[in-house]
This record gives sequence, structure tokens and C-alpha cells, in this order.
Amino acid sequence: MEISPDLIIFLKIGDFTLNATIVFTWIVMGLLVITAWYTTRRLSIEPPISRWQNLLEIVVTYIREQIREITLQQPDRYLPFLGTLFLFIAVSNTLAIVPGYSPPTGSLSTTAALAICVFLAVPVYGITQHGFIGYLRHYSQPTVFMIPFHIINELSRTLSMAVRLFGNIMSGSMILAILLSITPLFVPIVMEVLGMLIGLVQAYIFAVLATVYIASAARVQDEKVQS
Amino acid sequence: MQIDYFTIFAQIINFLVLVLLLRHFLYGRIIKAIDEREKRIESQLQEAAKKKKEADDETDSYRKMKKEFLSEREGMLAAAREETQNIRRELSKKAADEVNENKAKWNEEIQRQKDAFLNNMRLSASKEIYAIARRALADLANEELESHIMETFIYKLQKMDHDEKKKMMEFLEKKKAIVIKSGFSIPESTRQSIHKTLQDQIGDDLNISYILSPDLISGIELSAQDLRISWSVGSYLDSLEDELSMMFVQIPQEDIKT
Repeated sequence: MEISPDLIIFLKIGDFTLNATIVFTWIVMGLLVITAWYTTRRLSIEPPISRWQNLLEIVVTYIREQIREITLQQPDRYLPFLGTLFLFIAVSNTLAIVPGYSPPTGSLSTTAALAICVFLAVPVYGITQHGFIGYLRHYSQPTVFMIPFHIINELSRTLSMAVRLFGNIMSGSMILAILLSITPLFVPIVMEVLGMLIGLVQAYIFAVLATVYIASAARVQDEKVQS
Repeated sequence: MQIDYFTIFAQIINFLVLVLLLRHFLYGRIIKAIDEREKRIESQLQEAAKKKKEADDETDSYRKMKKEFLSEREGMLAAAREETQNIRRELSKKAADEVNENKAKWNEEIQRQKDAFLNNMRLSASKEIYAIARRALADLANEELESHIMETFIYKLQKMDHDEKKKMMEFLEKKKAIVIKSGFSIPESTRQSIHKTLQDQIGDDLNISYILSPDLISGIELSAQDLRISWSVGSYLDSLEDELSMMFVQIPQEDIKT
């Protein structure tokens, strides 16, 4: 058994390597985009509202409310990034019950890529909101000696996010594989269900942590500006 | 645990593309739909609030109108009651008047019928009594009675007052005959006594004619123009008739009063 889907290579042309991580990511992307497009091509404002529209409205509304509660700010600015983060991870992890599917989030490359996106998103949102100088100023707070610690903090939390998601999803797949070889009946089913739950919880944790990081930076900036 | 930098880069690109696609196909549209729905609901709520306010105002207006209507109705009812009372009073008075009028007419009619009946009865009774008395006296009449009658008549002639004498003398001056009617034949001796009595009273120049009149029941009557001197049972019977009539008239009137 492969530990990471990165190792399952479908196509290799020079430096371009089409592995399972990328393929399954495209599948997940396609699934999300097609579902979104199909559902939102004819949205009805007045009842009756279709089931899919209802489902998506509930999901989007829930994500908005979560962002609003955590950031205490208008959520629409963060919604595309954080919502996509949650949906991508949640769908990737949930599809793990499909035979032959290997969740892209079980690849450290994917989780690292997502963590890097969050790592980059924090300054992007901060600079967008407060300007380049205004954002950089908080690294020197309360003293300039704190700059290295701030940078270490940024890097370490990015690393922890990437490894946490990868470890949870990879371990879930590993445990399932091991249990299948030891007790092929019933126990793997329970573990599958548990895996789905863990997948959703990890998606939630990842998205919430990203939200907290982005929001905390923005809020610190707000407090500084207000003071 | 491997890290493939190409895969990392590809996943970053994939993720950013996914963010853009979902922002376009999912969040933008869904949020737009939700916002439009919220706006519509908001406007509907505002419209509903406006209509509710209008309805409340209208309700208040109707309540006010109802209150006014009720008070107006009470006033109208009171006026109608008063008018009804007046009409009832008027109708009662009219009915009472009509009843009284009818009663008066009825009483008058009853009185008239009673009077007519009593008159008839009185007349019939008096006639009957008169007839009975006349028949009885006629049956009882005899020479002795007639002699007494004539003596009474002669006595009356002797007791004529001055006016009667004067009237008789004026009558005789016109050369007319004194008529003496009697219900029985007067014997010659009595006729001479009458003649002598009249001579004593009014003079010698007398022209007397005797007429037998059975209607004068046991009676005798002297008539000279408008002077009449008589005595007969008939005159008593006439008095009896008058008395009877008076009696019949008085008794029913007392009955009516009770």
C-alpha cells in the first residue's frame, strides 16, 4: 500500500508528473464546480426552492455564520477562500469511502499547498485591508525583537496545519488498510464511518484555524489602528 | 513522508482555480440569491408592516365608526322608542276615542231602540189598559152612574169661573150652537136642567145641540169654540195613560244608571 497518493503516478512527461493527488484533486474540483454550476444556473428566489439549492444555501449560510462568529467581521470578503478550503477538504475526505479513491488530503503535498495558501492568505488579507506598511508594522509589536518570533510563529503554525491534516487523513487510511488485513469484516465499516467523521472534523479544524489566523491578524491590525 | 514540489505547486494552482470557480459559480450566485430573497422578504415585511398599519388604522377607524354607529343607534333607538310611545299613545287615544265614540253611538242607539221599544210598549200598554178600562167601565155603565155623571156635569157648569163664562158668551154672540157630546143618551129632564143651569150662568139666548158620542165613555162634554167643560171616565183614563207612560219612562232610566 502507498502511504501517499503522490506516489501513484499516472503520467510522467519530463518534470511534469500526473500523480493520483492531482487527478483526485481535479475530480473533487470537478465535482464541486459541476454541482455548484448545475445548482446555481437557475436559482429561485421565491419558494419552491430545489433540494440542491437548499443544501448549498444551508452550507454557504453556515460557513458565513461561522466566519462571522470567529472574525466578528463581514464574512463575504473571506468566504471564497475559507469556504473553498472547507468544502475542498470536506469533500476530499468524505469521498474516501469510494473504493479506489485516495483522498488528496492524504498527501503532504496537498496539505502543504493548502497551508502555504493560508500562510500567504494571511498577509494578503492584511495588506489588502490595512496596506503593506500597516500590515508589516505588527511584526515589530511590541518590540522589533519580536520579529523573528512572529516569523517563526507564522511558519510553525503553517507547518503544524499541513502536518495535522496530512497525519489525520493518512493515518485514517492507514488504519483502515491495516484493519482490512486483520479483520476484513464489519470493523472496517465502523472505521470508514469514523474516518468520514474525522475527515469532516479535520476540514472544520483546518478551516477554523485558517479563519482564526487570518482574522487574528486583521483584528490585531484593527486594534492597532483604533488605538 | 514525501514532498513533491511540483505537486505542491500544482495543488496551490488547483486550489486557487477552485477558489475562483466556486466564487463565481457558488458563493456569488448563492449570496446574491440569498440577498435578493432577504431584500424581498424585507420589502414584503415592510409591505406587510405597512399593510398591517393600514389595517390597524382601518380597524381603529371601523372601531370608531362602530362606536359612533352604536351610540347613534342608541340615539335612534331612543328616538324611535319615544316616537313609538307617542304613536302608541296617539293610537291608544284614537282607539279610546273611537271606542268611546262607538260606545256613545252604541249607547245612543241602545237608548234610541230602548226608547222606541218603551214607547211602543207604553203605547201598547196604555192602549191596552185604556181599552180594558174603557171596556170595563162601558160594561159597568148604567143609569145610576150616568145620573151621577150628569149631576157632576151640571155642578161643573154651575161652578164655571168668570173667564169660562166670558168665553161662552163671546161664542154665543156669534150665533153658534153649543155642542154637548155624551157617551149615553141624555134624558129630557137632564137636558132641561142643563139648559136652565146655562141660562142662569150666561143668559137666555141659548142654542144647544146634543150629540151622542160613544167614545166618551160614561162622559159628557160641552164645547163652545175653544172652551171645553166635560167630565168623563175617558179623561181619567187619559190621565192614567199619562201616568203609565211617565212611569215606564222613569223606570228604565234608573235601570241604566245602575
